[in-house]
Amino acid sequence: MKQIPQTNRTTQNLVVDIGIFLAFLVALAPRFSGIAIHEWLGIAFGAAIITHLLLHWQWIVAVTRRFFSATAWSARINYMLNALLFVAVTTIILSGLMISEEVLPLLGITASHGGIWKRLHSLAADLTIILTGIHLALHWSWLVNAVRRLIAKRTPARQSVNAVVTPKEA
Amino acid sequence: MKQILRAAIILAVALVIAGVIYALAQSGAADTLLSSQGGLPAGMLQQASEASEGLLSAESGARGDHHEVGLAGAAQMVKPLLIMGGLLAIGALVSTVKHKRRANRSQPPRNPPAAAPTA
Repeated sequence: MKQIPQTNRTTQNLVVDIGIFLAFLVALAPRFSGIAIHEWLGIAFGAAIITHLLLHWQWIVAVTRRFFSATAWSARINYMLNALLFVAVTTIILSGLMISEEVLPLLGITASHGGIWKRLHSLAADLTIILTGIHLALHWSWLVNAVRRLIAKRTPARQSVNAVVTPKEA
Repeated sequence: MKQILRAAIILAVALVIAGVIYALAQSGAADTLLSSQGGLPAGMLQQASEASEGLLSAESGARGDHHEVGLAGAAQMVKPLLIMGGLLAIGALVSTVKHKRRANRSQPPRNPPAAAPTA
């Protein structure tokens, strides 16, 4: 398999994470997007989460193996929080499908509306907001460093372009 | 191939979780759990958000009408953003304090102790 340079991998992770975050925000406001977009976005969100997990597969495997042996407590807490977040997102998607008004009827499946699933959907969404906030807070330094690195990578490139262009123009 | 296998593992775990949740919901255990919980009531954030927007009408019940679409609905994103922003601010603060402490520890002392007088 072709090795991806570290900087490119960081940029790739950053782009995927920003995309997931924006999709999550839009999905949280069904009145803004409309119920159809809300539901399709929810399904796409599931695919995006799988991509996010695949990008961090090495970390998941490493911490799973070392969970009960020698590993930092911060990694353990992070792991448990992420597991909880995964359960919450799975609950949102499952309960969302159970109360679906657009996607499932389109496929000819009638879902049950309301009741326990609606409450589960709301509760899981609330829990996910809080857990996402903590997840972001725990990765804050990575986020800041990744953005800084991206800006730093772009700035010299632009400067060098200017340096090449200026003498020609002169 | 490897990626497909990994994705299948993730999906399988998600399916197991979904199965457990489905079983709990069908058995009524989740209903008992949700109705007896003393903590965060289901949809509290969303309800609070809707109430603060003034979009709730007395007839439409506690959750309002979801089918109303428009820019006014974007206000729904404000509450979660505020909560996440608050948590992020805490995270940023903790990380800044940590970095400062680490930097202080790695810096050599400003006034090195004077050499011990020789006898």
